[in-house]
Amino acid sequence: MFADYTNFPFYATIVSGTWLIGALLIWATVFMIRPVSGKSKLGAILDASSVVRTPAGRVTGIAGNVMVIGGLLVFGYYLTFLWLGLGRAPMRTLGETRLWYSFFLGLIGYVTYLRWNYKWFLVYSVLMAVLFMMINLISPENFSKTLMPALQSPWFVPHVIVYIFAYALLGAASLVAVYGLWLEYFRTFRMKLLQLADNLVYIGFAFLTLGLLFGAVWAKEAWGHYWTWDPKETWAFITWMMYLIYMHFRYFHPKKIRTPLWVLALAFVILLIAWFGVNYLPSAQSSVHVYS
Amino acid sequence: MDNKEISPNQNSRSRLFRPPWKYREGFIVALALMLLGFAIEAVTPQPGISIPSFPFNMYAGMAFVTTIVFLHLFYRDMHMVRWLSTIPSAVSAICLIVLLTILMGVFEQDRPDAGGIHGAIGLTHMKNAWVFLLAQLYLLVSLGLAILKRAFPFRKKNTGFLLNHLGLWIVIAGGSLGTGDLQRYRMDLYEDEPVWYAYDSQSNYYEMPFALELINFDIEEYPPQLAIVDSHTGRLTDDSQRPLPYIEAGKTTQLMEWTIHIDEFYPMALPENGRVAYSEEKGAPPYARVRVANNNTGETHEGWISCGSFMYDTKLLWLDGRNVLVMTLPEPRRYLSNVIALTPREDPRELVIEVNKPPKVAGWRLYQLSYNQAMGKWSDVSVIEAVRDPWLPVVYAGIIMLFAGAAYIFWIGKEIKDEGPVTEP
Ligand code: HEM
Repeated sequence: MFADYTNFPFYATIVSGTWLIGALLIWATVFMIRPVSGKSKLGAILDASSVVRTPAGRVTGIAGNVMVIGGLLVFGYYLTFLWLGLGRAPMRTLGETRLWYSFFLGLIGYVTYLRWNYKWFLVYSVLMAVLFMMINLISPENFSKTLMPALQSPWFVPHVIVYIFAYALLGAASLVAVYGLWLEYFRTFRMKLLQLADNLVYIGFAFLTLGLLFGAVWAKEAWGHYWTWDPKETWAFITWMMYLIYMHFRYFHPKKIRTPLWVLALAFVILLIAWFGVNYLPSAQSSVHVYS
Repeated sequence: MDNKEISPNQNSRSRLFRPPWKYREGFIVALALMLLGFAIEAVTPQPGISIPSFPFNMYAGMAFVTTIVFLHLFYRDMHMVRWLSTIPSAVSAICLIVLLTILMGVFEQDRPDAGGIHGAIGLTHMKNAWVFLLAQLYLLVSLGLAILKRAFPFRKKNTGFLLNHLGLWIVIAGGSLGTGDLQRYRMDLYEDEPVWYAYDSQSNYYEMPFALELINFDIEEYPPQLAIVDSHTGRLTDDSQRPLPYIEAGKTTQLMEWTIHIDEFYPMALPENGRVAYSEEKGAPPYARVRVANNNTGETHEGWISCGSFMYDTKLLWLDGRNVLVMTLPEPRRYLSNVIALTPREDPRELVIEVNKPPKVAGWRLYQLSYNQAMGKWSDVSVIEAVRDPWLPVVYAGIIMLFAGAAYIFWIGKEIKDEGPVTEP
């Protein structure tokens, strides 16, 4: 019934289609709500815990979930047969690596959505996943493109994926912080907003920690040291510490508003340095993390 | 910073180190430790401090743990000890570490002989500088006391806290103490010569508890690629950065206005009486026989091309007065050394040492480090790095706890405490 595993465009189309439509349907349910008494519609959208879904919303949500799960199953089926067909783990080339990005972006994005009900996050994960699939479709040459030996490690894919998630969540937390600062200085701040930021930071921080640990274990496997304090690692560590400060400060001073908001906004600046800036530092020229 | 918190003791703001201690005291302690670290570094003759090796690092670790437990058991009612287990102390320790890490990122590292004031106080070798050691100790004391406070009596809701904090404690302490026993040496292996010796970065030689004999070093390669080069500039004629086609026998491909058909391809070959034939001889480069047709003019060319090797020249195919068809040097897929490992007790064992897949011999991990790059895959020497890290299980135990802690945080998130009425300014 299904085409063989060499027909990647066929599977990519099915998976991208079901995921995109499914995620958008789920996201659309944000607007299919009846506010509880005394709440504005916008307030209800921001605070999903106090809304009632309309019947149309419920049906749309179910349809969306079915599509996302269907896409996951098809993708899993494809990967299984690719693995069997090649007779080896399909993790040798950049193109194959991207397949795993796509799959796990979809999977973890969906699990995170199920657990935390962040619909925007599902849409983001699916968009990233589809992006990686598109790269493989547009340049199939990359399927056989070389992967340098140091990157041919089972730790490579998880290392990159969890960073993609961490950046998205922590970036969202910082947007919340900037919005919060604006409210705090020019309008009225609501504590709900800091709780939202907390939750995003906690989940994002979990991914960031996983990224750091995968990186350390991988480095130990590949080079014999966990941590060499190369510039990228140094800045990743500083970023991690900034979010630690935020979490601990929030725990100890649950009622303070301005300091944690500023810490969170600053932490994101550091994160951006760790992500992009380091490549431009003169000290980074020898870094193993700068790929041309 | 504190203006929104109702302090039970308002006039403590003006009197330092009067209970309750808060952030100001924390930052003063951190600053004092930093200055102390700089001072010790400046007066001690050798740069930094090195962690002693077994068993002294273990004794030091045990003494440290005992001290923290002792403080917890007998002095926890002392204000300072209690304060050490609170967030203000923890945050000041984290901030000190962050500051030192930033300095580490700013100053060039591993140049203890660079001189200057920053060298004297340890900024050129932060990893083993006194100031970094003191900062770590401060962090570990604070973290340790917080752990003990939460661990006894144990309550289930503290599981996540303990996984994260104890895991981190173990990773930092185990990692630091472990450097005292970390051995990292190089072995230069030549074919058919058992080597028992290794040397370190200062060229001191050591006898190893095993010998390695190189059977051969090899680089497995991806197929070479086709490219059209402008002979005037020496660069690719097509600068669009499109991926270059891989060479495979029977393939037809398109490069700019040329259609290229590959009739034959040998990953290793040598010319012989005007023909090219497969060869396993040393230095035999890849060869491909190609036919090229220009789509616009219909002009055709054919011939053998090769990227050459350290022994043989490259072979090109001229397409017109300016452009040549070349074969790129193949990119490596795997670097590996086939070796025989000899130990006094066990039978000789054949091993493959490959990047990312270090095998283990007599407690040492063996990493493929280097080879004679001029000779490429025919290199008759392979440089292996042998690493012994007996504290690895300790650090991995901490890492596994941190993994579990991260999963816990992901799933539980922030447990919303009863925070009472929210004050809005
Ligand atoms: C993996 C890194 C870390 C994570 C994920 C983490 C997380 C947390 C969380 C979630 C809390 C709130 C307590 C709770 O909800 O039960 C907390 C409290 C605390 N953390 Fe951390 N933390 C980390 C590292 C550190 C470090 C490096 C220190 C430095 C000394 C530290 C010191 C403390 C202290 C003192 C408390 C308060 C304990 C109390 O008052 O009972 N933590 N931490």
